Amino acid sequence: MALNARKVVVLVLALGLVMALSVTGCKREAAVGDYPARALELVVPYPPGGATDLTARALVSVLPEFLGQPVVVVNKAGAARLEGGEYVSSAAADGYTLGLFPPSVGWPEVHFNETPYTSEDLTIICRVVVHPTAIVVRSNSSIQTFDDLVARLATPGFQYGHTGVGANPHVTMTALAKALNAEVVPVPFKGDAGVAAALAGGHVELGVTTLPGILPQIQAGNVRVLAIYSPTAVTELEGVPTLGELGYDLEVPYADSMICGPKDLPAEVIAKVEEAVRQAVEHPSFKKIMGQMYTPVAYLNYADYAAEMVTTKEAMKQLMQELGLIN
Amino acid sequence: MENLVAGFAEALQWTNLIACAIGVLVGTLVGVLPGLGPVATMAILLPFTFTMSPTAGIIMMAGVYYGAMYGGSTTSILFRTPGEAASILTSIDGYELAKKGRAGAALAISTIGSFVAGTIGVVGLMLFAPALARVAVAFGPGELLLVAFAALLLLANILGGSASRNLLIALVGVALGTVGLDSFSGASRYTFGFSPLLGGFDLVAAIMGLYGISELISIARNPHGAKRVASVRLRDLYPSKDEMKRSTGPILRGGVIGFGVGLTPGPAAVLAPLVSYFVERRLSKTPERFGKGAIEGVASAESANNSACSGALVPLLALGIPMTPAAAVLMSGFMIHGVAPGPLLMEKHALLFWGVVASMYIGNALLLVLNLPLVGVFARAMMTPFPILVPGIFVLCMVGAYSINNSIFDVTVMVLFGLLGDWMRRRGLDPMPLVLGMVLGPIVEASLRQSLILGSGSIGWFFGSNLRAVLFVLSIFLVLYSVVKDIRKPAKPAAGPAADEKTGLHA
Repeated sequence: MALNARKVVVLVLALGLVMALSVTGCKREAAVGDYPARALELVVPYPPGGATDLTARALVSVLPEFLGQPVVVVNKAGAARLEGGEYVSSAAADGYTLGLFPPSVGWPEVHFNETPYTSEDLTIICRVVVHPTAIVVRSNSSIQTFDDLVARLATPGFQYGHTGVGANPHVTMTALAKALNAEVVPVPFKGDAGVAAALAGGHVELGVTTLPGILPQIQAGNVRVLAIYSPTAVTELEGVPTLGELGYDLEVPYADSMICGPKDLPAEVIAKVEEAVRQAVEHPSFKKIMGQMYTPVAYLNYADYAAEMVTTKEAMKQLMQELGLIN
Repeated sequence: MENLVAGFAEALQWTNLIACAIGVLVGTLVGVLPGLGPVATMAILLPFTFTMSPTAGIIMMAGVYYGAMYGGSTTSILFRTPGEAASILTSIDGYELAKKGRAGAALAISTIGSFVAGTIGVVGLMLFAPALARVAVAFGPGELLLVAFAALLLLANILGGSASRNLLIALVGVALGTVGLDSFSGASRYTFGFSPLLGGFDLVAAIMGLYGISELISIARNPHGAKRVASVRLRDLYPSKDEMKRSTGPILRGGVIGFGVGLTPGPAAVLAPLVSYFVERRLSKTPERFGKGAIEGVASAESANNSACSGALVPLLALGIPMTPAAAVLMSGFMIHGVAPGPLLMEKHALLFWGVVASMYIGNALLLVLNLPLVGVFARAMMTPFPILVPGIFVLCMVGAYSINNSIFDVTVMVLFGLLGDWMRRRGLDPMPLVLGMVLGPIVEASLRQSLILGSGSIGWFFGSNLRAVLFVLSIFLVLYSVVKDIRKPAKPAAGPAADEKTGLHA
């Protein structure tokens, strides 16, 4: 069974050729008028299992009804999530490659110093949902209400756990502390699971995290929600105020999930996607899943969303600079 | 007990039984392919569970999760290509056995070990989940720092050969682990403006390179030197009485050790097989056989990694905290059905909880029945001629590496680590400390920085809780022990392959 090196090389090349051919074979041209004529890709810049991933999977389970074509979720979490954004930004502007992005991937230049692409290379089509950020304490804490928290924060050096530097909970709490003129000590943990474990284990008293990630702890009565950061109250969380209702109008963008495509998307494609998503988010089965995640549907169309982003993006940039996270 | 009976009644309903069978079948298949793991598969199956009952949906996803642990050993044993960090140790002794024509025995033992340990894991889960979950979350940043730090030092000693050389290689691993976006300051480290590096090196891609690709390169380098298995006789497909006897203890102990280690957050999947393996080597009357094809090595590592996977379910089911990526996807499965895992699971959804637990007993039995006949099929795959086998595995590895994050960069990382692995192998250097450095380094760093913030920089904080104080003293002791050991018994000048005999960890 002697190996012939040349044979191996030939075989590898042949296999490579077959793979290459099968890939190129998939690309077909289609006129804009027929859009969509084949399946779409929806890129999620996270590994499977998080709130954005789940939102995407719930969305693609109903989207075909309104688009007429299947939509496939593709997870591309590499390069600190920027790989998903770069992939969409460099795709053909035909509307077959879209992404469901958080703001950090939709406008990377606001979050990172070196980025392979910027929001200029993307078309931000519409907002789908907002993942609320929750301010929670352990249930055995003496802090009962948001007012108690404000009182405690008057003493400098209060520690809180968050889901990661520059992520929405961290930025939200920074902006809130600034509004309260309080000095807080952030402790980064690994994602919402890390914050949940730190709260359950008693390693921190206060946590700022994503609402879906802390949900089991809330339902079990291990933690108490003081307030959420979301454009609307969450009906399932009775009596929990939003920061806006409490009188704190932070300029931080919400943890949006936005549909993005490459730049220069034809207007027909934008309109078609926008309309299909608008209908999909009203679908009972999508609404049911979002309800179970305590995630409000917060659809915003292309024009309205673009108008809103003008201010939020600038505010975010300023906060990130104050935090020293970008130049 | 009544609960469990009701659970079995639930799990044995047709739809649930079929869901379980589909889950474990799919799990086994994806487990066999290196790189392709349960995480992506469970995510793909998730939408299909939308229309199922919550019980059937969760049973199916859980089936994929533990089913994948059965398949994971196959490529490790046959081709020294571990598809995840948890299978590295299986690949060391397993591959040596395969080269001796005992691939069938190694595969069968790892299947039986997985079954026994999987069952131990389910029993542990059923009986102790709520109590153990509290232990799991008691491991905060301080505790984790001390454990990970102690593990790094201990491993340098345990791996054999020169402790200082192992530590040095581990430090290179730690350095490689720092590449990417720093999660505390947001600074990009060692990325040189090259954005794919922002996410760092993917561990699975690195492992597939260091072990699998380097093996393929070494075969290609010397195709005539590689030993071939001429034929596998039918009676050689299954373990002999002696092999079964020698594996019994390691499987049982591995099952318990793995479950215990599996509870801790972070590096459990890597540490569980390692602890189990070295416990067996210490207990063995013939420790020198470890690393050269000891069936006990396969039995201990494989059983521990299976029960560690049940251990990782404890914090999820009892507290609703997913400590591993796979547990996070499983949690999505609960959430979309409006069932929050956690303390209320057993109260509010008792039938679902016990149904899932019962289905895990059934699933493990199904996996045993499913996998044992496959042993023969896989063992014969060893006889495929090299010119077909080597490129075939190479392509499988490329597909697997790509599928981790759907990223071509990970394929490049795998190939580069393959070249590094080949270089290390020719120098007689063990890649294990490198992998451990990459696994433990980021954990040590993150938990150290968290501890310093939480304790406001005070060392007294480490004595603030009994658990931390004990661990602190223990890790100081380990540092002193390793220093003293190195001074009293200086490592023999280990030049190249000579070291292999001593470490016994090289292929």
